[in-house]
Amino acid sequence: MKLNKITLQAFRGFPKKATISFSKSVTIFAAPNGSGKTSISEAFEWGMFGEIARKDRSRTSGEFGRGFSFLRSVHAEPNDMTFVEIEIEHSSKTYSIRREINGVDTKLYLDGAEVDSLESIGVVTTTSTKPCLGQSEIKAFIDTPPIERWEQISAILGLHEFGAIRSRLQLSRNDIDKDERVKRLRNTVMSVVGPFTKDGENPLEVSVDDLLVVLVKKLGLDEGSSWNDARVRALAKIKHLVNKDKKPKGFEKLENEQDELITELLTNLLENTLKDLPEHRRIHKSNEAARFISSGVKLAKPPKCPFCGEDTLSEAKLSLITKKTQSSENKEESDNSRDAILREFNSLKSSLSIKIPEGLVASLGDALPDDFSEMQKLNTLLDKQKNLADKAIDADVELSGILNKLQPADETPINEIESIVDKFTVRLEKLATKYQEFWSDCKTVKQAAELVLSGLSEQERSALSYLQAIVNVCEKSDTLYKNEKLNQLSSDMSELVVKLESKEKSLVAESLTDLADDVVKYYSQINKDSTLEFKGFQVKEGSRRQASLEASSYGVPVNPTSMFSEAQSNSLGLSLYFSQRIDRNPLWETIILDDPVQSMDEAHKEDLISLLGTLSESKQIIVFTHDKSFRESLEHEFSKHDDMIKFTIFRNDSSPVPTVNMDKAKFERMFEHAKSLSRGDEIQLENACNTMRSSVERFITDFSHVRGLNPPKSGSIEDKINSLSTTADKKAKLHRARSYGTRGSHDSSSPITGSGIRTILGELNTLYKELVVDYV
Amino acid sequence: MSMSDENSNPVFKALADLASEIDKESVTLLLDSYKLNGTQGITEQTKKLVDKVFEDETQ
Repeated sequence: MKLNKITLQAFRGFPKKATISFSKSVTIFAAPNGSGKTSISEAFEWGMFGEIARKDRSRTSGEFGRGFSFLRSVHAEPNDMTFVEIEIEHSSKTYSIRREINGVDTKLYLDGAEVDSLESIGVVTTTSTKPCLGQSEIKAFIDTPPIERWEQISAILGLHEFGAIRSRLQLSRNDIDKDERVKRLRNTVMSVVGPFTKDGENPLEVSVDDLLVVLVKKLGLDEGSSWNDARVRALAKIKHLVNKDKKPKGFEKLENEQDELITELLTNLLENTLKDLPEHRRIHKSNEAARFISSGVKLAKPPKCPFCGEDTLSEAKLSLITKKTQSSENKEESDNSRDAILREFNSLKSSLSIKIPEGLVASLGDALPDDFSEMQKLNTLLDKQKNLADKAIDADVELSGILNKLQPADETPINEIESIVDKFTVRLEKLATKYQEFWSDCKTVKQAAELVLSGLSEQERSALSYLQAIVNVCEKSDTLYKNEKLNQLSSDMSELVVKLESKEKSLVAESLTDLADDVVKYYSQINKDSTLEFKGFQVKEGSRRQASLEASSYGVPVNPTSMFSEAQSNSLGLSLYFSQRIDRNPLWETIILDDPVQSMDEAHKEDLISLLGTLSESKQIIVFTHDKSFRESLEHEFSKHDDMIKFTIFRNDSSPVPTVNMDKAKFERMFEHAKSLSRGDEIQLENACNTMRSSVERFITDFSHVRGLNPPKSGSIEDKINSLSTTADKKAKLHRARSYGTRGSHDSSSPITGSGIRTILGELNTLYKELVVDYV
Repeated sequence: MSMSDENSNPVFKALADLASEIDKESVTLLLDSYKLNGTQGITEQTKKLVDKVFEDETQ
């Protein structure tokens, strides 16, 4: 891929639209500082890659403003859009790329169609794939801390993604731990598996299948039994241990139908039976007398009694009366009458029958209430039994009272009834006794239950607890398997991280050696006579990898960071650039260098030119420089290329030039104003003077920059001002600057000159000497 | 030519080797997701794998 043409508008030093065409072989931009060379270089970088290394590397990138607004020319017409159009050639095809500022964002077009990236033509935005090397990047490598240097090397090798993948896998693995569902699941696992782990063993890491094998063995189940088999067996053992479901037969019936039994007893006894007894007796008796009197022995079929259904005059009675009539004998009447009354009572008592649930009392001894609520029910039941017995006794007393009120005409049946009632009373008393016994038995049961619940041995308690734990873990077996799946996922991710690191190390070791060899090769070409040899990189492992540089001086190891000169640092930066962005960047066939020589001496420059000459055989060379001798050597080196293009004027003449305006009178007024405001306060005056001094120094810097001068970096302001005096040498520099086509921004007619402010600075310096002894 | 191509991207080639070496479904899914959506793909795929564990609960 080669660069054909760049058109830019309202971009940095190009307020108006300008188009620059490039040679397929060599293009040289030679002009003084401030001519717009870097604007063209950065137009290519921003247009192709959407970023500017100068900003990214700056420690004050925040001061560049939002987005890419800093790229817009401050002198552009308001309605002129900031854009860059780049024409490139790749595989005999020509592509047009346009990027324009759109608010804080940019819009990118490929052959007129808006696109998100240029990946469709193989262009990706990574520093290591840029074919251009900006001024700010050359020395960056050696000036970079070891950790960042490693990151750069990693990117150069194309392996930086490994770190990003490992880091993301670790973060995603942590995200699993933070998931609320996972937290709940693990709490459950901790709770149910905990009882089966040994000290120091993590319940979350217990093998589910291994745990099942252990439990199955403990429960005496067959090998291969399921979690449900284990659960069922554990529950059975618990039941056996606490007799949980053993209740006396009829317990439920007695408990639930208690009120009905009492009602049945009292209703039949007091309301239905005893209430009708006198009338019942009267019917039989009156009927006997009336019929006997009216019908005598001819009475064949006496009516039925409405109470007992028997004949009101029984066969026996009829027979007796007949016999008595016939023989006037009645000695057996009393016996027959007794039988009839007995039958009558039997009929009555059938409705008085109280059925005690079969086996109730006998089985109570086996009852084991399963919890304290059952015990409460038993207590309630005991109270009811006692109440029942009491009511039975009360019924007996009431029955006796009713009988006492009867005034029978015939003593015989009354006596018989009394006799029967006595027997009934005995029955009631027996019933009461049974209830008393039942009550006593219940108390025994209660005591037994309490003994069971509170009297388990330590071993039984432990067994019960263990069995319950088995039931719990069996019921959560699905959760255990889910935990195991999550553990497996985390484990897989960890394994991947480890293997990624291992893979990266092996690739790094392999690639780094090759890269170092290439860097050393280039470095030795650019520094042929240097006593300092670059040896390669040393990678240090740690929480974050670091890359240090290795070099030697006459075979003695030295630290390049502290030992390399500016020129040697430049050479190393260039060597790295050629090794990576050219040799390891097959997409591009272009070398773009912005002011590559910087601090290099003539020998280094010649070495670099010689190297570029070799590379130009296969690469398109584009060089920006303000260095006259370097330009001349370049032109000489590449003179064999017929299509070489040399630019010395490449900015529209109508472009405004940088100016620095400083009003001497205003400066003096500021100083007087500061003195006035300070009112003798030395600290305030010092602050004001410092501010003014900074302004003057900034002026000197700007002034020097525009004029292509090089004032001393240290010393007093007076020294700096003096260095700006228009000596013959400085005039010559100005003349050269103008010869490249840029218009000098300042001359002796500037509003304020070095001599103009010297007087004021004299005062300032006097003041500084008084206030700040060591001020520099 | 794309740098996302396994033939030209040494990382992608290494990931393909690792997927084959580890040969686990989760690893394959994670690495495939990375190739498609970068590190964000790893985040999303991890969440999907966790969701799958809990989806089984409702089935």
